[in-house]
Amino acid sequence: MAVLQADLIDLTHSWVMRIWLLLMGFLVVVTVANALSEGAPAEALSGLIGSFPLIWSIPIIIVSSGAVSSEAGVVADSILSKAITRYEYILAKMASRLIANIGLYLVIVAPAAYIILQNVEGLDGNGIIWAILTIGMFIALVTNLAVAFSTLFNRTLVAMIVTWVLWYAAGGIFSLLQSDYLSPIRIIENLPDVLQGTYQTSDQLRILAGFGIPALVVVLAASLYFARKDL
Amino acid sequence: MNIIETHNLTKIYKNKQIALNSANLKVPEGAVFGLLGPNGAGKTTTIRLLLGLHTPTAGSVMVFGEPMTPNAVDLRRRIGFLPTNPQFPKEMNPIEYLDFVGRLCGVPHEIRKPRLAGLLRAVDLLGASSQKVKGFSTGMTTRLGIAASLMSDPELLIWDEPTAGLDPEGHQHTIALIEELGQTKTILVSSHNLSDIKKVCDYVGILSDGKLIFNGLVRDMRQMARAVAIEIELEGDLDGFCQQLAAQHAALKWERQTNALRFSFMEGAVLAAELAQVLQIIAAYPAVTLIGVTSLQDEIVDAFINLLEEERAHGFSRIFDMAAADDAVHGGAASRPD
Repeated sequence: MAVLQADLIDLTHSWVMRIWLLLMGFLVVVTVANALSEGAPAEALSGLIGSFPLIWSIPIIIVSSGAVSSEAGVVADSILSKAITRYEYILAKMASRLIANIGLYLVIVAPAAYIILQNVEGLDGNGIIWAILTIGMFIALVTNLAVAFSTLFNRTLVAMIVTWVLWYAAGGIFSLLQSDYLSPIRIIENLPDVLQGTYQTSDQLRILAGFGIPALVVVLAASLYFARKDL
Repeated sequence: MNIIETHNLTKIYKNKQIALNSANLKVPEGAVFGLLGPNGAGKTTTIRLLLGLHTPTAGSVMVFGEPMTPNAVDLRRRIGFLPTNPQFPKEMNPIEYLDFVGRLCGVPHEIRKPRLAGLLRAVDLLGASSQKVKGFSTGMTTRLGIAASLMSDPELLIWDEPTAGLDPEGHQHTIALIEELGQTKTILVSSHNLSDIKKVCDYVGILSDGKLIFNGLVRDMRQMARAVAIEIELEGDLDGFCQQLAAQHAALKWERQTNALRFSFMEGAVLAAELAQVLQIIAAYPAVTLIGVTSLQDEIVDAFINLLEEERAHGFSRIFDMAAADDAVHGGAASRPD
């Protein structure tokens, strides 16, 4: 808990987080205004939610890939030489980055969805929840991936670049393969339908599993690797 | 009982660099143990292995009778570690950092807060308690590291080069602190500074090129000094005295300085008897007056250098030491072919 709390406090001081929050706040205002004036709420909200895997994965990766590598010297001297296991440390780091990224996503998306749902017709409440959950799982996977690379590389920039390359390459490959459950483009294209309630629950569960299972595998692999690493 | 015990502890980094080679280190309970060695000898690697920060390539580490692993939380709770040139979270101030360390070590809130205040006062950082660590000088960082290592009131302290970067006053205070803490705790302190080790340690381990070449009492190490030397400052007819010395006491080994003579006595000599003989010769020559007698020899330094030289001079025959160590591990008798 001490590491989790300290890391969250650290993140509140992060300029990337602050700038990201400001930009997102502006985007929310534009999205809500657009939805209210133009009367196309599903398109407007899917634009906001769908921007996370494509555009906002950049700050997500920046915030997450420094989790361990940015404090390479500090980890051994000040933290892991004390009474804490490697697993506790890496899980605390992953938890704090997940809380920061998914927390910011929910703080931005949930009020916008609520305002649009209350004022414009054409959106389905359950569909909104499914859409938010799907992209949330997306964010969880990219966050865990970036933290995992952060344990692997001692330089934050290297961890960042490797995560970006892997993330966009995997997205591109799955889109080319026209995978229904793993292609970000496909999922974003389907968001307006999901928001309007046109979806199969089983499909949504498959998409969640498609991102959720790799996210858990990444946590496990990073923990096992970090537990054996020389610091 | 040994608080720390390693068996054939070996660390090879990425199959490229042998940092530690079959070290059998023993640190008895209550000892102030000095880990000595030149830079790059393997002191920091040894310490990181003792703390579970590195995993051994071969061999084992036992601390408090239990194997040390990267996840041995209960063992590390009983250890206070001060790294060399420590790095701390830069955005924290000393109060936040010590509180963080206390929480990591499971120190309850009602003990943690007064203890951190007391420690900050003790290491003279009260005035800097609101400053961020990133603005600290080397000396301030080391002092904060000392305070952090004491936050959990540990039974064992492992301090890696604790006097590095300290000013003379800080250096003196740290040595005094080790002496005081050594009365109640087991301490392992690494240094390449022999005078520090000589002042505070009762046990010593010497590392050379990753090999532990001595592990025992400082007293025993002193006896390994090969020779002692003294300088006798004289006034008067030094030329005449030197001529008489050369003519009548050919067995004595000496050399002339400007106003003094340096006498060297070989290994095994009884210093008091040799010195008495020299003083009698001076007393019997009234044309010179004795001004002062100074010991030139630092037995610890001499023993340290001897050990390093002997280890290097061993050459390829070191392979037999290695075979003996292997036999000891496998329960066989050590043998050395003719």
